[in-house]
Amino acid sequence: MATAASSTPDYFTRKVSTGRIRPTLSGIQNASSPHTPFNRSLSSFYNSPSSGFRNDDENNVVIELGSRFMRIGMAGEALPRCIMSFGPDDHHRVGDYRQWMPGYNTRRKRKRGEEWGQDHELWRNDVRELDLGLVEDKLERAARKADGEVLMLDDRKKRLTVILASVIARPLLSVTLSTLFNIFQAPSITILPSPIACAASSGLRSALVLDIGWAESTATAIYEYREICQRRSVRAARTISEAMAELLDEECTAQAKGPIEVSFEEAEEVLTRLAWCKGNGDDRREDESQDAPQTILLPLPPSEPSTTLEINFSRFSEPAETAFFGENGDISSYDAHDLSLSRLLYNALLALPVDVRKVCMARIVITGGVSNIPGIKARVIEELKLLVKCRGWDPIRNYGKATKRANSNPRERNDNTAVRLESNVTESSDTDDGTAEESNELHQPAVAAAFVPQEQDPILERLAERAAKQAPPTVEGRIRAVETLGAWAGGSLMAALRIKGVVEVERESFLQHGLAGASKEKEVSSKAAQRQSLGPGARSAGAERASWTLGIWA
Amino acid sequence: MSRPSAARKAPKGEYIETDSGNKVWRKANISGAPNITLGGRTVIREDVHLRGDLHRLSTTKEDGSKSSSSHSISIGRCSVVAAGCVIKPPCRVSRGVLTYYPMKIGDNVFIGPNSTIQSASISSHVHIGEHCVLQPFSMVRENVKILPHTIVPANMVIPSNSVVGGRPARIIGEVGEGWGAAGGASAAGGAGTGGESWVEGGDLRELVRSIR
Amino acid sequence: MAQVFPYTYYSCPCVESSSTKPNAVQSAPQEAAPFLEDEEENTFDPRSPRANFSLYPIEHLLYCTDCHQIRCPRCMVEEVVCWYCPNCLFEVPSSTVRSDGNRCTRNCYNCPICTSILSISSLEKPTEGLTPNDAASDAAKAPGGPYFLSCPFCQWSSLEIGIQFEKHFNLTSQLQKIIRGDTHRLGSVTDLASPRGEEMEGEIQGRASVASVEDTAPLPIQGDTETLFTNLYNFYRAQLSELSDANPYSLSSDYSFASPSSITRLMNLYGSGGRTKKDRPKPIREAAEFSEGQKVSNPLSEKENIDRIRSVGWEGTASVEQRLQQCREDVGFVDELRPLATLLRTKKSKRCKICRQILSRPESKVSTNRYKIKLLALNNIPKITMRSLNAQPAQHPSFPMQATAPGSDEASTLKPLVPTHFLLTITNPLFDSIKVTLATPSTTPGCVKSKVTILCPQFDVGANTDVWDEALSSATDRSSKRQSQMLSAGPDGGSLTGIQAEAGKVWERGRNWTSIVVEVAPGSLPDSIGHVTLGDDAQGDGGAALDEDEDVLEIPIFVRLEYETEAGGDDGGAAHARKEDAGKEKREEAFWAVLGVGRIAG
Repeated sequence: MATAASSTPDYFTRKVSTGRIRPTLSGIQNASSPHTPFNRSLSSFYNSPSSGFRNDDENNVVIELGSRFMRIGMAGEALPRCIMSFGPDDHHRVGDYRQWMPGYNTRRKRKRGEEWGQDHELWRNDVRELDLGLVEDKLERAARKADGEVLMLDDRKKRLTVILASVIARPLLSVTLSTLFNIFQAPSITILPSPIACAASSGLRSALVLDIGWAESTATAIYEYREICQRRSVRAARTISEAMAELLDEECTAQAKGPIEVSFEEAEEVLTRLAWCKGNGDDRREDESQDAPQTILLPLPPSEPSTTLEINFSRFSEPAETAFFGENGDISSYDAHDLSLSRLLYNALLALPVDVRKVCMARIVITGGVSNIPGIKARVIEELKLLVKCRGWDPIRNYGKATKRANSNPRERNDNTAVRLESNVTESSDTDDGTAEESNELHQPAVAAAFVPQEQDPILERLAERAAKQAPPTVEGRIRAVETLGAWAGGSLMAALRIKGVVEVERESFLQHGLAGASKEKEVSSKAAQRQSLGPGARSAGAERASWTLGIWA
Repeated sequence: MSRPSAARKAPKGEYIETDSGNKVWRKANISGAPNITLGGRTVIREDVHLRGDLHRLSTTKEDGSKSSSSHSISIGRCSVVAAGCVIKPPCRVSRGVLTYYPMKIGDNVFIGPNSTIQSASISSHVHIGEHCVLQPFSMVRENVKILPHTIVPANMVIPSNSVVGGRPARIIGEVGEGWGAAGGASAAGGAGTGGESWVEGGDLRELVRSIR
Repeated sequence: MAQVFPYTYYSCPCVESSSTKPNAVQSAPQEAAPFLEDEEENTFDPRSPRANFSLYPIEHLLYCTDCHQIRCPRCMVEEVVCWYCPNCLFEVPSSTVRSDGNRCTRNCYNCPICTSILSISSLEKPTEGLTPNDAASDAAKAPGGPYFLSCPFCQWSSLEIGIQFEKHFNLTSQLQKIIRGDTHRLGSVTDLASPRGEEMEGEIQGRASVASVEDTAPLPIQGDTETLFTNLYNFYRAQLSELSDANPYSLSSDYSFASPSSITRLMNLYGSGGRTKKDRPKPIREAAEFSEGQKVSNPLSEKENIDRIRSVGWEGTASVEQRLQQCREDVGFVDELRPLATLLRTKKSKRCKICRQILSRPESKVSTNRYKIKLLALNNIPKITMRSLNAQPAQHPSFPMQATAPGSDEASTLKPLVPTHFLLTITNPLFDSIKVTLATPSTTPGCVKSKVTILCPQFDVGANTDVWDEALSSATDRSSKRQSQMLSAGPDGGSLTGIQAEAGKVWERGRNWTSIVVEVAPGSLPDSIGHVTLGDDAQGDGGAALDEDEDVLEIPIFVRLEYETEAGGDDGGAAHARKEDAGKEKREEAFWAVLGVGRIAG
């Protein structure tokens, strides 16, 4: 990804291989000429209307795999058919129905030497300690259950689209593929990276996707459906879940209910139901709604003996605060992987080339299970705005002595400094005094680079004019968040539109050679043409592939 | 079909054995016996409450009129109702009148202790655990295992070959293909074998025979 | 409790040949795999996390008569024979199954709160409860007026979320109209300018006229997601088709000069030429507005949600399970939950994954319960049962006749360090007598080490011949004698068994079964630590220092069978079968089984 950042996207440069387009009537018509209407009557009640367009001769299955959940469903539908979890209750033996017995002990203790919620994970990217056989078993059972009880596929041909994180350990990838091939008996599997799927399901070509996952949060910059930069932080769902458990433990002890060790499931439950997130630095919300009850009665544990805790509502915002935003102390003392979410976004933006940044900053997409906690999205964006306001787009945090010299020639900047500075951002090694001076002045909020009007360029203007005729104006240069339907929906869209993915693994060759059979991306020159994933060539089905690539997973 | 009240033998042990081999504990609480049919070789244990008196009335009389020919409870062959169960035909208000509907229980059904049954029907080869509640008009199809302490909500239909559990009950699995098959031990007249030859959902004849 | 003690689990041999084994990463720790690396052979560890996935009760196992192997759900391929609704038992044709979302489209709905089946009631006579099943029969006398769905278990009713129906049949389409109608009122009214929008408007009006259900609460969530998705899909589709349209020079031989596109082409050839330069396709643009599927975040809605949580409290929010059932993670509140149409169920036929032989095939009608083909493991591999020799349980574990007080499960509670005898019975379903060899590790794996000794590890089990053979033969003599001895010894048969359970001798033998004695000395739990630190926890599940179920004594036993049988016509089982001279072939089978004996007392 880092290497891809430097190369310009070749999206536009590729010619379409026209031979692949079927010479239909509509194919030779102009864009403006009448079309067959897209909307047809609904074929069913349960699908979104779009599902009527599906090619009905095959089962188009879309699977999203995360470290804790598997979403599985049919392409062209807005929602997955089921969401499978990987908790310990899902892993009993066949014929072991203990979880349905009264008095079943859900308050299980954490096993020795296990991290918080580890027994609810499908996998972790640190495969050194991981039993891959167990991963396979879990995945196998979940997929089999989903197939048998929810999808209930008939024996038509299956097409499989798998959405995975864009960085995943190769053994896990291998296990995933072999298991899915094994269960679904599909001739090939298309793999999509989840950030791109997220961007697709928010209708964007370029985006900055913040995925608050279970083990880590990733900020991925996407430009023209290409991942160009990724930053990650360990502040993620696990952090907030653990923080919630601590809070509950604390409250239990304080309210003299005895020292109860809150179980993972209880913490999760409270987290999903009651957690919220404060706006940026506003404590006045406390007074705002006086009429609403200030405390929440919380039955804990949900099983007997039932205890009721009375907890102030504002406390439920604390876990999000500490887990995602808390930055006590000097930022320089922080671990590079322990950044707050807003800073993570900021750093990701900062690492982008300026052209890309102006596009991406207006297309921030926040996704992941925890992002549904109300207030989080707004808070992240607020904090990011604040950061940009204070810091501008200056990659250097502290200039040390150079700060004083900066004031010597204040007149030099004015109009075009900001622009010049922005273009310098990518060359982060360029930290000579000149840059330092200029950038220092940016600390005055009024001239934050993002808000400085751009220099007039007649050529650009005309280009923009021409572009505006064809496309609605694009939003650039200001921070804006865009909603997404999630990675699964994106995959569902792309699979329903029969867009060929970059990475398509054929069953036979995979079973013969495993991942080693993949050719390196560079070697497969023909793949480049296939990469225009949303181009017309992509729609030609059945293009033979002599070799296959692992794309970004290589 | 014989009625336990009609064909009483000489008292022998704790239970009354009928001509067709039904074994009804003396301590069982049976009301409205004429409306109850036992299929043969069926065991009713102590403290079981069979409410045969609750049946559809031909007239709207307050007391159970014996002229009404309708059955209220019928239980098939080789079924076992363990101690403390209450079996009560389901009822609902229809056209402003509280009406009881007949209940049918199939063959080789085991009903665990202290369960309350108000189902409309229970098919054959069903195994019901202890302390279950089957609410009115639930229907249990063949080859079903109901885990102990389950509450089957009213009107629920439990399809064949499923395992249900929870409060309220939901289908949580399937019984295997081998449900009820005894695996070689079945045909044996081997009550004296090392292991018991009856299995859940299987033929309960041996179990019935062993009860004495 | 996992299952009632004692129980037997069979390990399907397919785990050993699991696909990940060969290419597993070297650094993966060996201890985690269920097979411990012993000196020369692997020992099955029932405690390893993987073991849960390979152990099955015998009734879940099938047997491939071609491969001569046990087949578990993992090594079977399933094919759907028919789909049906578990509630109304209506068989759904395969053509509509998928488009219906694998859910019943009649009147079967599950409660969003507690998952029990909802019944349809009339608002006029609220006392009358119509079940979905007899709704048809009662249709004539059913009262009119608006209907609603209500839950008999938790008393939830669809009126709480403002849903009521005009008719008591065809609920699915009514519900859909209500939800969709709301959607369009909320969502896509903005895009009435585009031709697509107009068409949509038509649809909305069409729907609105049908959905005359007034006074429905806003149902924003599902609507929002679905509309957004539809908008996006249409947008992308339009973009993609424009893309392919943008190439008028595609290889199309059949367009005539009369077609408008030919004219444009000629115009372009002789015209300004602007067109020729645009050989390069314009990439599809991004969605720009809601009608195209883009939605800009609105921080205000999040604020609203916070206030809503505050006001509704714990009870008003949807639990994790409820959210997962709705498959929508953005649902936050109880009143956003919708009744769920009942998920269909299937009948499946199963094939062996290796040789594709059909292992089980049910009859395709929903109402019947018969199988055309059913190759049970129960009929092909010996059944292993275990019970205590001394303490006869008061009642059969799975057929309790009297209610048991909780915790009074004495028979399955084992005293640590006290050697106990168990009777292991192997029943042979085959028509040939088998020679059985048992093996077990001398101490059980796991942190509680129990000593296990099989007193007679090698013995024969008779064939499953006709029942009457047994009656005629005198084979039962011995066993009955033995039993009478036991009876005479009375309840404290401990001393008796001490004498009689001789090493190397079969305890009891019947027509097609043999019992042997297994001596078990349960290990002691590391209880002292647990009791001191976490007092009340320790009583509950035996020792706080232990993980769940670590106090359960489970004995892994390796079972190996040898038998001679009539040579089959084919040589499908060539790997296992060795041709003998007299038309007989010798077969050999081996598998691991796990016997759950009981819980060790703390």
